[in-house]
Amino acid sequence: MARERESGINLLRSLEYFIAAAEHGGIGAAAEALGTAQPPVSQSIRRLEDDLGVRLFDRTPGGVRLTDGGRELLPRARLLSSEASRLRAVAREASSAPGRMRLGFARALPEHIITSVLNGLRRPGVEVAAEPVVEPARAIVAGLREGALDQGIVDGPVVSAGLLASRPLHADAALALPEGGRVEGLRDGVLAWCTLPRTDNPPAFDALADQLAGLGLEPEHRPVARPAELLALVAAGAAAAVVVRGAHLPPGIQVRPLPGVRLSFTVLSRPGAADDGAAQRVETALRRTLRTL
Amino acid sequence: MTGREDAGRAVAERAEAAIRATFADAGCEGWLHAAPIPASASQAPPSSVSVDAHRPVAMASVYKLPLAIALAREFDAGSLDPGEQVAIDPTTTTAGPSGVSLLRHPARLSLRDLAVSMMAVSDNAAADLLLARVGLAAVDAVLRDAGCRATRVRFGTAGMHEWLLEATETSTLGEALAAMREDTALDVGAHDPAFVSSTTAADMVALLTALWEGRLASAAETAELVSTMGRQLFRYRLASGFAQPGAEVAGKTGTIGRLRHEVGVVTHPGEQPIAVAVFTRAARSEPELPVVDAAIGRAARQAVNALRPGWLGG
Repeated sequence: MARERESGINLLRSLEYFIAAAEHGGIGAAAEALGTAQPPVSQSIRRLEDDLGVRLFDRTPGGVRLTDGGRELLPRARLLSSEASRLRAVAREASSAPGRMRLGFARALPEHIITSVLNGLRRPGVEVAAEPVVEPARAIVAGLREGALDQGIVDGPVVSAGLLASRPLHADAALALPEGGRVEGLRDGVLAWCTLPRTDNPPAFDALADQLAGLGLEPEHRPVARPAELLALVAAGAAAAVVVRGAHLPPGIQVRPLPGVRLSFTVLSRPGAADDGAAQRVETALRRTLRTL
Repeated sequence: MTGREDAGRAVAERAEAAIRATFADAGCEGWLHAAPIPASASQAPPSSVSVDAHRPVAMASVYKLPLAIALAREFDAGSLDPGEQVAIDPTTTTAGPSGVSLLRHPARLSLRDLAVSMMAVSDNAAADLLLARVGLAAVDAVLRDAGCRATRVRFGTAGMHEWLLEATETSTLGEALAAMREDTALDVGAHDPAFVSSTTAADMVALLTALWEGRLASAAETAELVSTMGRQLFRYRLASGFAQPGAEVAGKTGTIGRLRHEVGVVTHPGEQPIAVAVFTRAARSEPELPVVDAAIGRAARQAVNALRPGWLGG
């Protein structure tokens, strides 16, 4: 019978109330300090006394006074209570994955660059090295500035004021065309040039548009909202897209070189991010990825 | 009165948000300050438009503006004669894309004409010949008198080029600029206001205001300089924002690496002149970025229009 009652009491909470009442010298004051009503505090302490079989307080008109038994139990109550809050703190840290960098990827990055970088960041003894976030480049920059991200990889040059930026890493570009499609389609209007919206990162878009113009190509631009739509439109025969040369592409798509056209990538990091070797590891993983294309 | 000020603040804040969007769209950081000349309490609000106006920026050829004012004061004081002929030796002049920098044979030009070339086409060689005569101390005195406390002119264009060659470990300016494009660290150093001549948008507006109000040089020399700045050849930055008939733009550009600047005064017919300083740093390293040049004009227009009482104020 007693065992059942024991399991029914919220021991940690009633210890908390006990400690507060002892510290404040009154149940009312304790309830106020804890931001709760007086009756539950009062009841909880009574149940604790019943459960332990010890009276903790002498109730007086002026408040409460610890009994000898209460005085003896108070330090142990404190110990348990503080261990409980440490347990919660450790749990919080574990759930936010300490040691995992929050790594942002611009959504314009090819999927295989994202997966290859993440794979490259895994090390022996580290189950998960990074929490990836894929967003428009401008959201990655904002996330880094606000501290929501630790590192980021964006396509192209980017306005990186207030962040640490790597030197640009380059990869040769190629043109993804529909099966049987012609590059000339971009000149005669048969094919549109499909990209994510320019507003994702205007200088990256402009840098690419200027390079295409350098090849005599000024295609109609067709922005799409989702990366998957890029190659879908290409496979559908409506558009061409600029991709990284050497990328594996799904069926229905053929690739033509774009002589001299280069894509660039920048690794960004938040100044003062806890792990200062992380930016270097990300850059190394990206460099290796680009080399093996 | 408070209602008026609140309304003015709302107009300015809206313009500042639009200006930030203009810079973001062009792919550059931007610093801007604009204020009417003279600043006066009776002016319809707002009294200024600012985007990071007190952040130091490397000033590039904008340093030629305080240099031109210092020279005007030497003319005023009689310590230099505007008609004095200066011998130009093309083997020793500072490199640059315009003016005396382009000469291939020895020539002679007056101090006045060197000043016109420096301000109208940002002539690097002319600027260094003039700086050699005027000295950095006189340039400093101009800045002090105008209340430009955040501005440091450390050297002329030749000094800047030497600094660049040293920093990039190259032997020609072309190599140095190419090295800057490839290397982020060098790039940052060459644009770092801590290393080179630097100013703020607010300081340059203070300088233009003092000049336009005739507080820095005689009326004749002030008029001469203001008119020369109005004839500046480069119209693709500030002036590109003011296609309206009758709007006059007098300015001085500054360009190096990723930096594109212009400071100047915009005057609409029958209205107070408005001083505006726009400094930019592009994300891209290409030498020609018309999108950023045009953004300077657009941002300036967004600032100036917020400050104009126009027909609404009548």
